[in-house]
Amino acid sequence: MTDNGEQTAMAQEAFAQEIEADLNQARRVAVMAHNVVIRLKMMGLPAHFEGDLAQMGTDLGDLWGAQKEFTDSLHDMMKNSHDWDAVGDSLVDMRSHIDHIAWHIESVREPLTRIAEYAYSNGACGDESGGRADS
Amino acid sequence: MDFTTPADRILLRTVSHQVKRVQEHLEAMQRDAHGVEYDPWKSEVDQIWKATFERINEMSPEPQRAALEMIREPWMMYLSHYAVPGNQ
Repeated sequence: MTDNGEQTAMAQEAFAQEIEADLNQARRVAVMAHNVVIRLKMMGLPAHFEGDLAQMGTDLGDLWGAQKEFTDSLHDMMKNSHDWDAVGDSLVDMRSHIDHIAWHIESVREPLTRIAEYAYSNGACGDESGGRADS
Repeated sequence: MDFTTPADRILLRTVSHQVKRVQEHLEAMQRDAHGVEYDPWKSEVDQIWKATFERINEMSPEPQRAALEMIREPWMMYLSHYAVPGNQ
């Protein structure tokens, strides 16, 4: 039986096995999000979609990054988890990624739908604007 | 390692992931400090902090104390650099 101080120290030690931030991947995600925004702005998406576009860009960028993290965690469990502690870590890692993905799925749905509707309304099969997005 | 329950270990590791995610999103915010993406990144970071404190609140006392100590520095840094009054 350990006292509270020792227990706190042990908990801190467990917590200290923290998952390090991957700042290079964070920059790649930010670039992907920015590229989505720039792509649709260059196609002439009207300014009143700016809020939707910013939200959709960051959601899609983060979903792109999160699916890679999820895949890496799944592969890690299949290849490297030889004891139950490691399996537990891998499963919690996957759960964390799934929660992250779920948040973005909910967040992206409405802005993506509004921009998709605009895209179709300005496509060749849409209205008389003939594909111009600036009408 | 019987100082924390399995539930506490899940919460501790989840909080560790959330702190990592905050650090990564702050990197994105710094890259787009004047871009339209800044607000969505910040909104997500605010949501992650809220979820982090909810997870810590579910922990047993000792892991909770350790988790609070470990997030103190990034949380204080976030408050001093990014928090907007009335938006916590």
